[in-house]
Amino acid sequence: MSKISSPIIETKNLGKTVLVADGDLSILASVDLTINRGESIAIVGASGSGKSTLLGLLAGLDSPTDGTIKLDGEELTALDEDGRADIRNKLVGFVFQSFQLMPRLSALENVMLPLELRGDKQAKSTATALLERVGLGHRLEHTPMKLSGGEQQRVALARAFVTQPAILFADEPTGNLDSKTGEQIIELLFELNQEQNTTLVLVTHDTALASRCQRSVHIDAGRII
Amino acid sequence: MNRLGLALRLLKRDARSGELTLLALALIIAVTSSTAISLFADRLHRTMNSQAAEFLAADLVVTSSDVISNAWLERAEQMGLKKARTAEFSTVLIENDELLLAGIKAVSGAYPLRGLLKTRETLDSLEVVQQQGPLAGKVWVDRRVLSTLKLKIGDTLTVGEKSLIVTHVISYEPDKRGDIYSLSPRVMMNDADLQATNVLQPGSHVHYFFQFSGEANAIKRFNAWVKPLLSVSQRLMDVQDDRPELGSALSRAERYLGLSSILVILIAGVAIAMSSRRYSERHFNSTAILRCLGCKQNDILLIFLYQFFILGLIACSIGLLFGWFTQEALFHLLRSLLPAKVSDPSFIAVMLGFMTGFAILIGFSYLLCCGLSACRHYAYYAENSSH
Repeated sequence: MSKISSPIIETKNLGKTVLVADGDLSILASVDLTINRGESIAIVGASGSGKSTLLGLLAGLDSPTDGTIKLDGEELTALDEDGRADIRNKLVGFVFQSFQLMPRLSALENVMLPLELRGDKQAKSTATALLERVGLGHRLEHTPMKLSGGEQQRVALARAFVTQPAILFADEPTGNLDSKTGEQIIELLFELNQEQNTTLVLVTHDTALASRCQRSVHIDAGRII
Repeated sequence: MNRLGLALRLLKRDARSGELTLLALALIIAVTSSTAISLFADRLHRTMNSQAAEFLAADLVVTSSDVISNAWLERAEQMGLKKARTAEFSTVLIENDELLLAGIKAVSGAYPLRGLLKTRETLDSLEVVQQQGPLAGKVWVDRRVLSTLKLKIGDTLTVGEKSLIVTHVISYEPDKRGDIYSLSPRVMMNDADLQATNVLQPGSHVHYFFQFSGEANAIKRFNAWVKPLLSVSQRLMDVQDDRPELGSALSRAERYLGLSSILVILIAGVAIAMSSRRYSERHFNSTAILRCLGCKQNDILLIFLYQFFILGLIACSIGLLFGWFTQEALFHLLRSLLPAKVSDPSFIAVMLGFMTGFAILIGFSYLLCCGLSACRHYAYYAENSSH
């Protein structure tokens, strides 16, 4: 099997149950999912269906109560929090619905941050180049407060792609944007994804957006249907 | 990852955004006030102690009705203490058919160990500071001695069987006491001439004052060593014992300043704690993002601790400088109430405010950093995600 089509994410019998006042509440159950390297996949479902929980588990931000997750061959469920942080640092990029930029840092500093965490000495030039690529070369020193929603999401895209991650997790990346700006962001997301051959895992309930991915996984009441 | 480099960069970015202003201000004010008070209290304490020592002309005095054992003096010497001796007694002086009951004070060469003597060359001349008492063969007298015995500077005054030349008028002696010897007109002579006066005979009423000065610890050790050896006619005097009115004033001042220092430190602690808490709360989201980006718990702990450490170092140093200038200004404002020469502060007093501010900051920030580094990135992510 060539490396291009080899699985980069694999889950087996993945489940997440939380304890509530009435007893155990199953949020995810028996999720078997394989995502190949370079593939783009949309996880779609209604609000509360468990898609963001699945994304959090796949990214190593949360621990499952059942089953296993493998990321690039590394079993996430066998790792402690620091081990999962290491994997995130090496393999993963994030784009959040509410951008999640550091409010006190400039656009450039926000994009430099993941590189600085890796000790990359070329952080500034790499981040500048990517911000220019997303059309924000003239906004390098602006803090998020001084940027529009669309510009903030462009910065978030640049921050996510700056480390050239093997996997990009995007949670409703256009959820806080108007439709026109949202379209521009999606264009940019797919362009960067193509350029860097990143595996894209996208959570959305926008079917049009989902249709741009190579594959869609529908989730309902915590189960893949 | 170079955590120190990253901490520095993040700190610089926080400083630029004004995020550090409140915490830095709290630190600077806290360190300034505690440094100013500790320096003021310490310098005042040292000045009052040295002034009080001047009233004794020494740090420690053994009074005795007889000459003390040489072993005591040797012991003091071994401990690195300086020593001097004065002998005080009353005698009648007769000159120009006039009689006067005078208080004689025979002083050794090293007298006074603390403080200074002041004399005049003539009755009308300016006061001159003297580092030591009269030389052998000379005598210094009170102005009353000259007028009563009809003498003038350069005349001869006979004490017992010894003739001495009057060279100076005494205007100030640091250890002048309120007893009978001191109330009588003073005649000060050199200890070396005492024997030749033949005034002191067995049974004579004389008071010897063996004076010691030196490093505080050595004085303390000598005090502890000599105390059990004292006879019933011997007494040990220090500032507290010798001048009870001065001792209690000193204790009251120390208690008041001590209380002020504690209050300032408490207020400083609360200010630093509140502002560092606010600082860490405002960094909760940033920490969650750092964790999403793959920053480990220990890395976050170290990054924040480095930031607090660097910030503490800079702000506490500024506070130390301000505190120094504040206490200088206080001494300047109160100069009319204080002695002309104020003692230098101890190193501990200089660093007390700095160390207090720094210790409170690091203590509180360590707890807050532990909380920050353990922040649940997923809980934060989940709150902000679409579900």
